[in-house]
Amino acid sequence: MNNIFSFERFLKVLKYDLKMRVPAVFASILAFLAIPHALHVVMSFGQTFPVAQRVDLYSTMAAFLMFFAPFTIYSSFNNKQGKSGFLMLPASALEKFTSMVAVSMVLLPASFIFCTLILDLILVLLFNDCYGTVVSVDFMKLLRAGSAAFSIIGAALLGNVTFKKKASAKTILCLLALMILWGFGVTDMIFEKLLENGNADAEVMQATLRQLNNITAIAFLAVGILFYLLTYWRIKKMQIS
Amino acid sequence: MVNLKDVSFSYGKHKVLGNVSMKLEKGKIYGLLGENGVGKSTLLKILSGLLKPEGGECTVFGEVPYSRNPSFLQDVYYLPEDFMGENVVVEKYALQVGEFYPNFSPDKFRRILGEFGVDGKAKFNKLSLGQQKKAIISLALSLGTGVLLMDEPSNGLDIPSKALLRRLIAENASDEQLIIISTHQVKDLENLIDPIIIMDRESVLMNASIEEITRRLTFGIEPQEDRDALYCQRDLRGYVTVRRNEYGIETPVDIEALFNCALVNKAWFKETFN
Repeated sequence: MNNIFSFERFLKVLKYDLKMRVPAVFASILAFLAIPHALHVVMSFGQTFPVAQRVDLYSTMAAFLMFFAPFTIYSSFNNKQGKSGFLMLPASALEKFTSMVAVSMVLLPASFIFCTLILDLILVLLFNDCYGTVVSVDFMKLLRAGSAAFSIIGAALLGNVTFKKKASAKTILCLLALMILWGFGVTDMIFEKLLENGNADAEVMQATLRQLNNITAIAFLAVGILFYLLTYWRIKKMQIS
Repeated sequence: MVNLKDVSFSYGKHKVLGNVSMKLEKGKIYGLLGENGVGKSTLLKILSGLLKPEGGECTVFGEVPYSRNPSFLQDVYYLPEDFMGENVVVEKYALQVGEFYPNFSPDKFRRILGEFGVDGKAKFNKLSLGQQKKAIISLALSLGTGVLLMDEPSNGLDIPSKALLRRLIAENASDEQLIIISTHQVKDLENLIDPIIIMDRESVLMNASIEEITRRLTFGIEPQEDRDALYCQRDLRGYVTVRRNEYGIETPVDIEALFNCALVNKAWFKETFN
């Protein structure tokens, strides 16, 4: 028997996750999606809700969802019974991890986008005067957002399998600490560049910022990959006392 | 089938298991007895792969449990002491989990669940703790795993259900199965478990079959106290007495008396039964 990865077993784990864990969260997602529209209807009925504003709103909601969904879907990690049930499920650590990633990074965001578009379409049809045109998907923007989501979801998955209690709050604190450290590093780098070149030349500044953006993007990706590797390692080595 | 050699385990500085060795065979229902905190649950968790032993060797079907390989996991089920079901329908959960176990029988599950009187269409979190326990025991008995590890299965069950539990385990255990049931409520498993393993802090006091125990010990209720007996304790019926079986007499094993006797004669039990 292949004890590392079997696609058939992976599908079983995925099916298990989708049937046992996701439904409880899905209703919350729909409710979460409806809240801003309900608020708009109650507070500013008759006023326009332009596409640009809605896109900003959906993006913020998506960011919240990407981060908090893994904690909710895999909330059983916060108790011994849930953890032991997960670990004792006859599948390899890689299959369980892959299913976790597939649910959190592919299926959930995809369903969120799908539900958002459908809801937006319905609202445009119902309240055309307020909503105007339907929100469209800009795939390039989606791709850029996807790379950020990759690291955010990685952090959430790692936080969920690492912290026993108040996992989401502790993960946020750790991310803040990481960002502060990164901020110090970046400030240091900018100052060094400025000192090297005497005065703040606009061209030098622009080049520095471009360099900084590239480094940040690479660091974000590298940290994201590290988060996923650590999550897998935690699942593989986890013990339950 | 299950082989433990000098297995040790500590929680931080607190040593729980020290050089535990034993061999367990299929076709038997082992009773793992011991006071609270002697490491019964720890041992079951090591056997199920949830804990990694600090030292020694532990194998189940020749595999190292802590590797948690799917080939191992599909043949082992660990029933925890406290089961807290989530917002899921009992039958849906069982059928979903059962898909991972090649020998799972949905019909057996429904039958056992019916005998326990639990509604399979109810959600776990709508059931009482006792009902949840019955549901998960029904699943454990219907999975058909080679090794079934049950941690205090009678805890939280009412008196009629404890008798039913004994019957259902006896009826549904197969000759190909090795069942280990841990308990500190020794009366709950009377007439079910054979062999009996008695654990003491850090070690095993006894691992013996009922046949071996009756060969070596006699049990009885006597009107007078016998200070020469291995164990003699007064209760409402008289003096519960355990003696060395010097004349080859066969008496039914009183598990509670055996357990208490082992605790007051640790050295003798270790020497005699290991």
